[in-house]
Amino acid sequence: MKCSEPPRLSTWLLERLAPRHRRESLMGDLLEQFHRGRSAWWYRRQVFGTILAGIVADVAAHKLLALRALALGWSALFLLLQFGGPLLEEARRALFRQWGTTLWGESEVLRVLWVYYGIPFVLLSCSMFMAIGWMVGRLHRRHLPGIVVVFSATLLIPAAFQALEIQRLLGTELWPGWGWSSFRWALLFHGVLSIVAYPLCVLIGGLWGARTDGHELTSDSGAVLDES
Amino acid sequence: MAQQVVLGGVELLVLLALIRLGDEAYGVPISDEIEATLGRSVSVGSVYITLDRLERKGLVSSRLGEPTAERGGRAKTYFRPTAKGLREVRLARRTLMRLWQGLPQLAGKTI
Repeated sequence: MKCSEPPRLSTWLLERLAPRHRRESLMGDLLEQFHRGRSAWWYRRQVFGTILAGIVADVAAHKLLALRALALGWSALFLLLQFGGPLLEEARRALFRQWGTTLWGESEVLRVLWVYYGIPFVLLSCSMFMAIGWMVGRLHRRHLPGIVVVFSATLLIPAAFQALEIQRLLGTELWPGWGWSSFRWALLFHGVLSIVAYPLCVLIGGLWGARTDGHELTSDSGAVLDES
Repeated sequence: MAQQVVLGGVELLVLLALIRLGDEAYGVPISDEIEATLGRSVSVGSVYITLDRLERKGLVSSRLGEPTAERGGRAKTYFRPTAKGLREVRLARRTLMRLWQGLPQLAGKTI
C-alpha cells in the first residue's frame, strides 16, 4: 500500500537545504507529483538531486564567498584547537586528579566511557563544532545551504587521514593493559565521530545559525559578510 | 544590436518545453515534458536552477500562482519565455540548422 505522506526525513531536509527562493514551489511540485502516484523512492531521489544541484549552483555562483567561509571556519577551528585544546586537556587532567576513580565509583560502564571514549571531551568537541557551524551559517545566511555543506564536507579531509591512522593503530598491539577489545571499539568510535559526527555537528550548527524565523531574507537583511 | 546569448543544451530544452506548454508552465509539467523528450527522469531541482539562470539572462519571466491543497498549500511558480527568449530560440535553431546542413556523415541515416 502506498503511503499518503512523503518520506518525512526527505521533506525535513528539503525544507532546510533546498534553494531558498524557490523552496516553496519546489516542495509543492514534489508533493504534487508524489500525490499523483510517484513512489517514495522517487521522492527521495528528487530531494537528493535537488539539494545537490542547489549546492553546486550556490557555490558556483558565489565562489569567493565560499572560499571566505572556508577560511573563516578553518581559522576558527585552528584557534580552538590551538587554544581550546590545551585548556580542555588541562581541565580533563584536573578532573582526573580531583576525582580520580571516585567519579565513576564502581561503575565499569562509566569508567569505560570516561577513559576509553572520553565522553566529556566528545561532548565539548561536538559543542565547539556546532558553534563554528553556527557562526559560518549565521554569517552566510543568504547563501545557505551550499556554503555550510561545503565547509562541513571539508572536515572529511582530515577525518580521512585520521581514519588511516586508526586503521594503522588497529593493526598494532599497543596498550595491552587497557583491554584490547575496549580500546578497539573506542578507536572505531572516534573514527566515526570524525567522519560522521563532527561534520554533522557543523551542519546542524550551520542550519541553526541560518534560521530566518520563517521570514525570507531580503537583499538588505543578510548577514554581515554576505555579498549583495 | 543586442548581443546574442549562447544557449546551453539544457537551457534550450527547457525553453522549448516552456513554449510547448504555454501559460501552464510550472515545475511539474516542465519536468514531465523534458522527461518525455529525453526518455529519462530529471531532477525538478536542476530544472529550477536552469530556469533561474534563464531568468537572470532575461530569457524567461516568472509569476507566483495561487496555493492549492494538492500541493500542501504551496503556490506554483509559472514561467514563460520573454520576447528575448523567443528570439534566442529562433537564433539557436538557425545556428543549429546551418551547422546541420551539408554533413555527409549524417545524411540518409535514421536514429
